[in-house]
Amino acid sequence: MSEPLIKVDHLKKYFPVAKTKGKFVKAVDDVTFEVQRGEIIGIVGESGCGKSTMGRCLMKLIDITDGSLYFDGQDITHFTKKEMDAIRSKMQMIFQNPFSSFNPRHTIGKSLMDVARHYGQTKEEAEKKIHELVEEIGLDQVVLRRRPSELSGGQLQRLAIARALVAGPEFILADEAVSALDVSVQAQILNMLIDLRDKYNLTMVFISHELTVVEHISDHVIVMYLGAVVEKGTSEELFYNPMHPYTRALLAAKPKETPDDEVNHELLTGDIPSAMSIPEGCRFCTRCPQCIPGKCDTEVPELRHISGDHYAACHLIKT
Amino acid sequence: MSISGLVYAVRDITLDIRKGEILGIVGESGCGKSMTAKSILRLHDEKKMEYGGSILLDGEKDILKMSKKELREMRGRDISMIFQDPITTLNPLKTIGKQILEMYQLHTDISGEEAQAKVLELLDLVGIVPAQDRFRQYPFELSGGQLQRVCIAMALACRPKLLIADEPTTALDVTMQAQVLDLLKRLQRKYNSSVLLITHNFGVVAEICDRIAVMYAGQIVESGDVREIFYHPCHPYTKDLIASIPKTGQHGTQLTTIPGMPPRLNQDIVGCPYAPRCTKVCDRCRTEAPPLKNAGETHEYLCFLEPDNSREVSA
Repeated sequence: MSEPLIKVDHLKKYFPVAKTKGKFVKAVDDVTFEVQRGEIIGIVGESGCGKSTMGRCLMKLIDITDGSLYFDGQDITHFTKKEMDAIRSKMQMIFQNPFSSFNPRHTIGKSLMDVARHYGQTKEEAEKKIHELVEEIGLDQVVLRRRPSELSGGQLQRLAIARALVAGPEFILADEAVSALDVSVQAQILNMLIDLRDKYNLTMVFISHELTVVEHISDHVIVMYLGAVVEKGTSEELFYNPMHPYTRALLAAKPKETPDDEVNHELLTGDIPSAMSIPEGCRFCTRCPQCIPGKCDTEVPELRHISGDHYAACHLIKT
Repeated sequence: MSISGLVYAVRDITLDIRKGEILGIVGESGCGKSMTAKSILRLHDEKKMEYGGSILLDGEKDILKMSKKELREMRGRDISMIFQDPITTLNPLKTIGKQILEMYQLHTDISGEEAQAKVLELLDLVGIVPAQDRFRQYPFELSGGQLQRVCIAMALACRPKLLIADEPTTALDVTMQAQVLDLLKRLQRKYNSSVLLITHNFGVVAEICDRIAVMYAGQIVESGDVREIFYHPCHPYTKDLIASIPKTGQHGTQLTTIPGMPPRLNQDIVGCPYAPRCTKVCDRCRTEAPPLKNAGETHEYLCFLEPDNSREVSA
């Protein structure tokens, strides 16, 4: 296989707890994965599982505590802001709320132009590129003269994608990019992301808590729980043959698609524990219906290989 | 592009919620779902808006004609509401126990101890345990899912005839969503309350509703039994909405999309409001308001298309 575009190696991100020395919130704890070129990877999990922190580490928006991060074969773990700036044009981001990701006082045209100019494009180049992109996302050129308050959420999210593409990136991180949108608009954005991926050979990490959306768009999926990867695999393996009890519970919690769907809602009890006091042994043992006392609450399960690209971290899995 | 003049947020809708049923209202943002729900409790600033028509409770009392005092008594006792964001619903400076207790103090004349016992029982019922300790906790000490359960406990404290739930699980994770929906359904059965559930999520509707009303541009464009709507939708808007939801086992396929945007509600709408976005539009749709048609005993929709014809297309 060719070299992955992004390689995450035993990445950790700990936040110190104010006033308590030596105590940390382990938001991302020893995560390893690779993103191949042209691939869309989905990261799913409940709120507080560290998926957004993971994303911010990938973009180097925050410093990494330990482990390493490679982009395009380069170790960027300890890159300074200036060094990052040089490669940022290759990695861009789309956020959840399109209204708060545009400057309300600037016209859309200016917001897009600023990005292009920042990455050293000439005015003519930038204008041409922006014109093309606006066409590409199916909007009229007049939107460039509008301000964010004059546009709908769906239009703005499309423009946020266009803005991410202005710089000519290889990698796009979409953090809950469709969560705030209506289903009809969500469908437009998902179709568009897939089309753009094919057209520009983009690589994407798609963070979402919505399982069907992730299944729809992702080639590979990573399930996170309390800062760690509990299961990863191709979209098909993960959704049709989930191995980790947490993945199963997540899938079981998904609402029915039609009223007569037979779903077995094995409800998870309780809440996700605080990342400040992660349970001993397997992180999921406090909520796991199949927890083996004496084993799961003492020994940390490793990610075990199941088949192909499918891995899960659970003591119940025999290898 | 500010909206000026009169905004017709809810246009001439007729809706009945039967005893002991869960009715779901679905539609895109800005189609008037929340407006309808809040109108039932008259929660809008009446200096800034006008109502027309009537809202009958129990088939006799018109909510729109109630005095302020009657309204105060009715809210919480006969009809109560839960909102999308439980964190902003609850008072951050009062313990959750006290906040639920208030319901009994306002609407019943049971003694303090009795009320307290009832609150503890309720907390236990919604799974906020140990109730004794939780009673004294403040909202910031609980998670979003737990707070939503507290809100449900509070809303159901006086066993209202109708519970309005406005996007009650939108701010929650799937696991919490499943817990809250399960709780809502259990309590609704236990108390035989009616529930009006507002959501944009068809999955939530499929999960717990008995009937659905689909709203578009302030109108109910289709309503009926939940299975009828899911399996035999008649209105093109309902069909398009259902088709645009990503489904299991369709990795990477093109989803159906609805081009354009819902109409702005400060303009007069001539003909069918969905006509500019509809794939089955004909000349008549642009000039004439579509009629209300029946597609079965419990199933009505607003469109020129015949039910059989559209049923074929959906298959």
